[in-house]
Amino acid sequence: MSVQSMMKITPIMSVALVFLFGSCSMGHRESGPQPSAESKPSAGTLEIVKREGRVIVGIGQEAAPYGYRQKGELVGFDVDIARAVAKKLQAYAERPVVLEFRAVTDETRIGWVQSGEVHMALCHINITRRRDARIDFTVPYGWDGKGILYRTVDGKRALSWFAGKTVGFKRASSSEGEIQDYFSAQGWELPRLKQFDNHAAGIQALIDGQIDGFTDDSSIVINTAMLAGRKVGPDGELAITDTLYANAQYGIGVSENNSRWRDTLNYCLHDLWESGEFMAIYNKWFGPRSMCPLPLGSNRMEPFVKG
Amino acid sequence: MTLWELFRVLWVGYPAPPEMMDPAFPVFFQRIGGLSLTLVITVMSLGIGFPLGCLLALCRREAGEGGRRSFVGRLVSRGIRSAASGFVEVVRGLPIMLLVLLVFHLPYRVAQWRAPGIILAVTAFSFYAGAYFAEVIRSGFRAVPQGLIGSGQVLGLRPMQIFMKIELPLALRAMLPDFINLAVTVFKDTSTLAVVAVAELTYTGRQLLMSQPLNYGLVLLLVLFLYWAPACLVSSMLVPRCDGGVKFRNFLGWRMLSRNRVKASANV
Repeated sequence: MSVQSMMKITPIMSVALVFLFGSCSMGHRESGPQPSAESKPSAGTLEIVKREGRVIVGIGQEAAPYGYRQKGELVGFDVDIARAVAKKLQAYAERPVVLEFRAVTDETRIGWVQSGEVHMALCHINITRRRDARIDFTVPYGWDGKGILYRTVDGKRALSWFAGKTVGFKRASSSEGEIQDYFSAQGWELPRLKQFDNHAAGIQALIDGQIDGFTDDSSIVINTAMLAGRKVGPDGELAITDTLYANAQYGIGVSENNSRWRDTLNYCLHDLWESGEFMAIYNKWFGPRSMCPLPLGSNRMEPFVKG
Repeated sequence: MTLWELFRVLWVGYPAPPEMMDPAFPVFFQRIGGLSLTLVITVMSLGIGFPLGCLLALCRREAGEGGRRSFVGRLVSRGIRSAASGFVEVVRGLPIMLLVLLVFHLPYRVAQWRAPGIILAVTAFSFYAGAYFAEVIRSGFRAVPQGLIGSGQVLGLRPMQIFMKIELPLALRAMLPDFINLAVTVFKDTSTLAVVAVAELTYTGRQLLMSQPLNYGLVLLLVLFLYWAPACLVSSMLVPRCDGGVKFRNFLGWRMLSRNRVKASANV
């Protein structure tokens, strides 16, 4: 390498290093125990919300029935829960709290909570241990399971049928790890997994025969298929396996070590449960008259005793 | 949903819910979506990116030249040149997706500043366009034969006259097709913004598919068409008009110029 080209590369390297170290040290400061900067998430998001009178919520916009567009409006279970929680939050913040949405995607929902860019995120986030290592979760406010959607043309399928078959999953979802864990625990051959950018694309690929099954949270998969005009069920065009390979619990994502904020959100959810508002919202989206009923079963919130 | 309605949604996007509006910023920028937002981001990024690119190219070209400066002067100009090269090389070296993620992440990390998506998007693509503009401009000026500059000097033209009368017109002609290429590239690359939920065309298309019983292939084709049509229009209508540049190249002979052109366009 000539001296001249070395000279050319040196400034590039130095800038790259500044970038790298800059972001490293910033990351360190963020997670460190210094209580200096007031608007850092470590200062307690509750205090920030109290001071600013606004709560910033990361909201998903691409998954029915949690957050999607209906006749142009942003609607969904997560959207309604976010609005209800923000209303309950006013009692704990002791002042009016303005709700602000920031749109997040499956790729950014965890990172933005981690960095504090959003105070909390409702984007059908499954509570998993791996995610819990990066952010914290409130108590579950939604329950679902994960099965595999398949074409009914060739009859009913059990989970074991998908061993060695091609199964699609949604990018940045936890299904990928869970399906592999389940299949290897059963001693079955692992399915060949194929990643899709969005649910609609995966379901279209399934209908076209490009993949044998498509998986993600059952409620999202079924609702997306039904919104796409497909009939889902034993007598429909598509069906979902009876057995589920994983449970899904939805939690509100909050930043790590932010105990008072997490408590407050838990109390808000509990208040919603006790006042019956939660069930009203739940029934709107998952009740018997909804598009795709999902009975609560034995799932319930267990509010802490006051006193 | 009729085809017309479909086009309308892809053109204006979905309305942002009231909770998403930030009163500190103009409502117009926060309300638009779809293809119109894609176009606004493209035009604004190119508008900001062009002066930025000129500045960067100028820094890389001018700073560090001139032998009669003091030691400190040389050090400063070398610093400016390195900074400009560093910026250009870093931005060109990053995948556009990473650049977008960085620009969306760092303002909050560094300054606790939450800006609406469109402003961050324009920032990211201005950096992107600026870095590539700088390279296009630099290669354009390098394509001007030294002999012509020399003959200008022999004729006794002042440096400014040489720049305005010889370098700039010739360089501009050489650059023009690359400018259009860059504009089309920026326009198409804005689709990466779907990852950070900026409601541009790709994201709107994704939302549309998630909410309505539509023919998947049809929507995909429509989105493709909406990306393809403006890009095609621009390149087919504007490129023939730059044949001045092409003639100029033929005049000088392809071999000499194409070396520079390949260098510039390989990265565009």
